[in-house]
Amino acid sequence: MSARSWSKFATPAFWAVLLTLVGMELLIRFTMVDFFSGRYQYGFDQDSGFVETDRSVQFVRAGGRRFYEQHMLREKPAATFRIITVGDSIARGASLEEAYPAILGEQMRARGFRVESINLAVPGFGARRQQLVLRRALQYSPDLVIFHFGMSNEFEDERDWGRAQQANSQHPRDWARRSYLIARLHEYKSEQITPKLLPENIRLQSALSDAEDEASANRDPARVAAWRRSFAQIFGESLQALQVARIPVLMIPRVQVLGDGRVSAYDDSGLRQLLGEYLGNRVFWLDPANLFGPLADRELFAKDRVHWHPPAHRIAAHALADRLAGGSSTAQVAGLQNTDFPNADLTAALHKAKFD
Amino acid sequence: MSFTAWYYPFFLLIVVALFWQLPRRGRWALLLVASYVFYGYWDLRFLALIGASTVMDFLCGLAIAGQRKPLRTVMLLASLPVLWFASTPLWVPSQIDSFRWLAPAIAAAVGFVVIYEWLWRGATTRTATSQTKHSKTRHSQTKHPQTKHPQTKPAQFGRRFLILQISYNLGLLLFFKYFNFFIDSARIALASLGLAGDFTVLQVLLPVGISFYTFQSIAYAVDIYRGKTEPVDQLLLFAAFIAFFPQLVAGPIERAQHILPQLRTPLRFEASFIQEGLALLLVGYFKKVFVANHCAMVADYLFKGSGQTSPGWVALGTLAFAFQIYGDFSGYTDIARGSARMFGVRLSQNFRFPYYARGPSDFWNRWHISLSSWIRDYLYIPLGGNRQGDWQTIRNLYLSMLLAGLWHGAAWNFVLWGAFHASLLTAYRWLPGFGRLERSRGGLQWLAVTIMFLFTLVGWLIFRAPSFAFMQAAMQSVTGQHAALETTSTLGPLLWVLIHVAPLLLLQWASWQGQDEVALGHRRWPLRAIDYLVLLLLVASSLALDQEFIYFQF
Repeated sequence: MSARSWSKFATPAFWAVLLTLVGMELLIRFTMVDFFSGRYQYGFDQDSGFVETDRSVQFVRAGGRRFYEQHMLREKPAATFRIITVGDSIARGASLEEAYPAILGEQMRARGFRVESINLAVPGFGARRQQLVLRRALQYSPDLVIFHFGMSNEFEDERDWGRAQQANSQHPRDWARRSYLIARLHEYKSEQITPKLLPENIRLQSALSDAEDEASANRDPARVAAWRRSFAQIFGESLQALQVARIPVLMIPRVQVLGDGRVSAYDDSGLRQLLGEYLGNRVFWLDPANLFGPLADRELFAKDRVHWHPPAHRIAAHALADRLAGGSSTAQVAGLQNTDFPNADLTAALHKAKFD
Repeated sequence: MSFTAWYYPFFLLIVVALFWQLPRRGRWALLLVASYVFYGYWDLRFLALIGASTVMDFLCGLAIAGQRKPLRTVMLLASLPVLWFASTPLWVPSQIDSFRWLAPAIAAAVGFVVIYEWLWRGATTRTATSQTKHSKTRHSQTKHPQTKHPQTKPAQFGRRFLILQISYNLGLLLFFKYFNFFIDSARIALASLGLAGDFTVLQVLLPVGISFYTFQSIAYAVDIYRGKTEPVDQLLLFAAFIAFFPQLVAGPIERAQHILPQLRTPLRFEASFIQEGLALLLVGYFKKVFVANHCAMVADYLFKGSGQTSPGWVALGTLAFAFQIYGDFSGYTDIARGSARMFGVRLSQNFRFPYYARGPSDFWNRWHISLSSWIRDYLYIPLGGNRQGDWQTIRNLYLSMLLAGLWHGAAWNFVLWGAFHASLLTAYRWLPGFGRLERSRGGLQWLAVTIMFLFTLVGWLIFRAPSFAFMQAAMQSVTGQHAALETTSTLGPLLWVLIHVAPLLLLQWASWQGQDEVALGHRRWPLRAIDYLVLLLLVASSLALDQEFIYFQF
């Protein structure tokens, strides 16, 4: 091709389009560094969301980890009781203030304890990604970890692992996705516009949405069985990591309310049975069935009958604070299944954190 | 290989880059190989079919013009597709069951050779007699100056080869596309008469794009017979023409006299080929990926068993389908035109703002132009067109439109759709108010456009309806006879359709002056740059959607 041909090829319109696209891409890359940092790791990057300075660590929304903005000292201050909550959308709550970890912190401080309570729950995180958060959080010497567990996010973990692989793939099929501009446009449309305009049944019918993928995956017995195996293995590894670090953990299973009106029965998809193998030796668990049992479900649970409304968060926070502080035991605290919670180690740690 | 597959741009880039490095024959060979790779990507066995069509069309095309190939050449050429078919299990072991079709394939090839030779022998005998009696023939050799083969015959015998070629092509089409349809229809008809028909239904795979290249081949033979084009005596060029991958599977249905001269000309590369090609590709992908795929989500909700037949949903789903099928098919055409343009080839314009038609006749001059002009030139006019009185004209209109409907698929709703359009054409031709409407100008033309668009929507409802029961329920719903309840809101989906259609309408507004849906060249470069940038970003926002082109099934 001659030079003249090339000059004809590169018309002003062509240059304008090319330079605008390149400019937009660069602008996004330079001005939205935090937004995009580790974003296409979809939570599988070990350090995303943990921003460390010399003395402190900040928890930020980055790299697919939608942490609430919080911070604490890297080294746990003396005579402070540190609680870290790892979980999914249930523990995350509607806001940082309304979710029970923050309320628990307030309640403990009101009872005269120096307590830090950090909420590291991220919606949609399944066993794999929760384990990554947990392992990272263990570096900050928590005295107690509250760990929400359930199998409903295994699909999201699998899907986002695939996306993370695609985003970092060298395959030509995935080249376009490596542009932040294209990725952001696509994300905005699929996450902001599509759900607002198209009802769920249309998205399901079109077989193009995550929801449809998930529904279809949930109908596949082989896939569900694989998730169960994987979940049991990862769950065991997570508990083992806590055992090695000698950190007490309070497990809260994800349950769904059955029936109408009152909280009388739950479906826990066999989680209680799974947990049974691990109970004892610094592993405790809180049974929501007992915690919320006598109360009306409409006030406590969202329409999906899984997610907690703010009153449920408050009940859980008060019950835990009562139990940890050694105050009078309320009916709700019966949800705590291990009679030795808090055990001697926890009590000792709490005693050190008591204001003089 | 689909135009929306991730590897298609790479495939196109490599073929285009190689194309411009090669001499003329090398280009034909490259296009042929690339086209066979493109087509064989769906199913290697399809190549045997297109190979058979190519050989048969090539030999018949020459024969129509009075040129005969030696028997051994005919046998060799006829055996090639069969050999390929027999070898496909070597490449794809799972296709070993296709061996059961080997005997019919051999029989078809042998049958063709026998008939071909028999026709020539008959022609030889008759010509000898005829030349003694009459020194004059209708077509002389001077009409085909490129004819070199010594064994040439007057073209009056070409009619027999024309019939052979058309029969063979239609036979393939009927067998692969319509066999089971006719069997099923016969069974239902007999059952309604209380008779039980025990017919065999064959598990036949419908070759992608067979309707397109079959019609293109028939047009080639008829044009030779009519003296409008010369037969191609270079098999390589002819095979590249038949299989030219940009338009192989979904058109436009091209005429030989339009494409062959372009392929024959030893072009020098020009940057404008790439520029124009890229612009066409961009518009095509925009129509397909942004408009059609998103409208499909709403259309599918109505037509794929949601059970929604409320008036609002019937109207919205049909509207969405109107833009789905338009974006899908015209988008395909634009991608085809863009791909071809990069080889220096201009394909025909297949769509010209069809939803701005003022009447059905105008609509068919704007929608799938290459099919409607094919029907006009090779069916309607040969039947007598509108020259033989009103009743014959109506008959010809119905026959033409019923065939156009059936061409789209082996199902009665397509036939009904054809009948609906024939009725529209009839009404607009003979009812004075409608005729005036179609010819209207000024403000009245917008009324005409609106009315025709509403008729078009009714047509699409018939076209897309999954069953006659659904069609009936939908019609009753919109006419208020039996309004079903709306269980899913139409407001959000309506906005969804509008935001995906609005950019298309803006594009059409911008390209209106050029009278080509992709013509943006007349706009000043900054505006053109904005057009392309917006189109590019809209395509980029929709990359995850992956739906097959509707017209592949036709």
